[in-house]
Amino acid sequence: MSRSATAVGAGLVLAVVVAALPGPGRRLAEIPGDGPDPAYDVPLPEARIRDVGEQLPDDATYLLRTPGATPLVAGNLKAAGQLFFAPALPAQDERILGWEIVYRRGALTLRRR
Amino acid sequence: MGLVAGVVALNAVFVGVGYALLLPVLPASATASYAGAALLVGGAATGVGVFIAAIAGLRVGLLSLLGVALLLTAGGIAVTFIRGRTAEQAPSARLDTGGAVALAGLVCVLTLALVGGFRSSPWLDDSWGIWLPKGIALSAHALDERLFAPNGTYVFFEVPDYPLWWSTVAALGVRFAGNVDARVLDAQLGILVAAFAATVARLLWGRVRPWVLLWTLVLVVGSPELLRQTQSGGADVPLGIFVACFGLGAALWLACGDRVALVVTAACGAGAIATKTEGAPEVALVLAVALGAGAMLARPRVPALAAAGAVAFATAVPWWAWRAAHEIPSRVPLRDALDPAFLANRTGRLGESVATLGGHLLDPTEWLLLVPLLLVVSVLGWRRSRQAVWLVPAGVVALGYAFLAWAYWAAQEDLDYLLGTSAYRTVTPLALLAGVLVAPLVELLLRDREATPVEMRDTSVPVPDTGSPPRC
Repeated sequence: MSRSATAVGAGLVLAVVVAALPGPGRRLAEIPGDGPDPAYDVPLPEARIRDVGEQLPDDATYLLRTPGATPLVAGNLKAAGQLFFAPALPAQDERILGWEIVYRRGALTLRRR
Repeated sequence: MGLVAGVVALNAVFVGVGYALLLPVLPASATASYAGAALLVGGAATGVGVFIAAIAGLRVGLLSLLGVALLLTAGGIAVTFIRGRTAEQAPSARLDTGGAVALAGLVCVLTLALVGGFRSSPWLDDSWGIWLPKGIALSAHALDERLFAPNGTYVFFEVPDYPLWWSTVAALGVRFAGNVDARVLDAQLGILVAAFAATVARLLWGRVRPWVLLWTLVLVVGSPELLRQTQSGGADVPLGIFVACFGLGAALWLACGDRVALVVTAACGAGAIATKTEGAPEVALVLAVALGAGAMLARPRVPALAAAGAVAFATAVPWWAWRAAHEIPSRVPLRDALDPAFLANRTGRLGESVATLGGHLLDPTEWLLLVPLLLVVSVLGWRRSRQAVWLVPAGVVALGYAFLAWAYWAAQEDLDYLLGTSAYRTVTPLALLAGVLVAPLVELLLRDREATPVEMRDTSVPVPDTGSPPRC
């Protein structure tokens, strides 16, 4: 076996060993791993966000209302909407509004205007 | 397809396109060893192409990817037909024991980073709050002014002046994965870092002794801040990779006439300019220094380097035209940045910016002394030879540092907030550029020392200036 193949093999074995032991290698390999959702700054109803995204028609315009929520929660929800509610368009102008999504005390509701 | 298969398939497309673009200049004897360079070249060029298609109104997706990939592949093959393949051989070297140990370490770190990339959701909120949503919007609507230009009717994206290569690639990753999965960002970053290491290793293989090259790469790839940012999902890592490869490619073209390096230069320059707003000035700065050094040391190769730079900047024209047409202002207005009165009123910002940026660049817990190492090697080489060319690599990093300090000085946002949330990552291109330039400088230093008679090895005695440029 060539020297480079041996080195590559040794590196792979070393990676497996390091990942199996507690320490920085394990952290670098992200064990245990994350799910597909963003690492939101605050707890959000992830499954419900995806569910609302499924229910919104593709050609919808929506407004996200977050009464009583902190700016951080509101900002995270805005980003979540841009990720999961597309191709529906987030509106500012209420005159073009088709749907309203309201977040209140951890619950997300969708209603047609 | 799922996350792993989807991201791997997308990158296989990038590799295919990259090989097609490199085909006319690729040494036939070592095609497989250029896979990393093919991925970077293909990823940069395809991403830029799909982004331009989005500006033209085509949604980012499989169709636009297919069209751009076919166009670029056809272009590469057509050039090969017309000019033929190169007869040049790839530089080769035997792996020594020290190099083999470093290679094992490098493979270990890259494997962990790659696995971690596929398993982690980005920790940087800009990634899932700006970059990925913009990509999803490009997928759904192409570059739609309702979302990408300030208006009062729709909720538009923040930082609308940022170019969209990273969002485009993220959107393609999501399309291939089959659902909105934030991990595509980190998975792509892991692959890009591995491709970066492979590209640098291939370009310098046979020119730098293996143990020097590979241990330097261990330092670069093992930098805690690079590994941390590889799981951030942010655009600073790709920008850093592109800027570093642009600089290294330019240097290798000028010093060795390496035509693969020239293609890497053009593609990575285009990629850097399309990744973040600071990409264009950083590429311009590296290009200007390289052209200046080339004019003194390798004049016949300067026109081709200038052409590669021109190609890179030409690819950004559609985006700049779109921005101008939609009156999208720059986050740091050039008018302010060049206004002495404006700058004089806020000189307090300069010192803090210089200190914070310098602190990040020099902190060994972030970048493992890559920048100080480059400075030391540059100065040692200059002391031995008294040739100013030794100071060029350190000079370009210093100029990049000055540029960043100037940008923070002129910016309008609160300085503490701005520095605290971005300085640690805006230095990434400079740290990576320094990292890839260390190995060739150490090699030149060792060669100089070996060529110097023992009695003249006292470093206080300058080696006679032969007037010749550093050997390739």
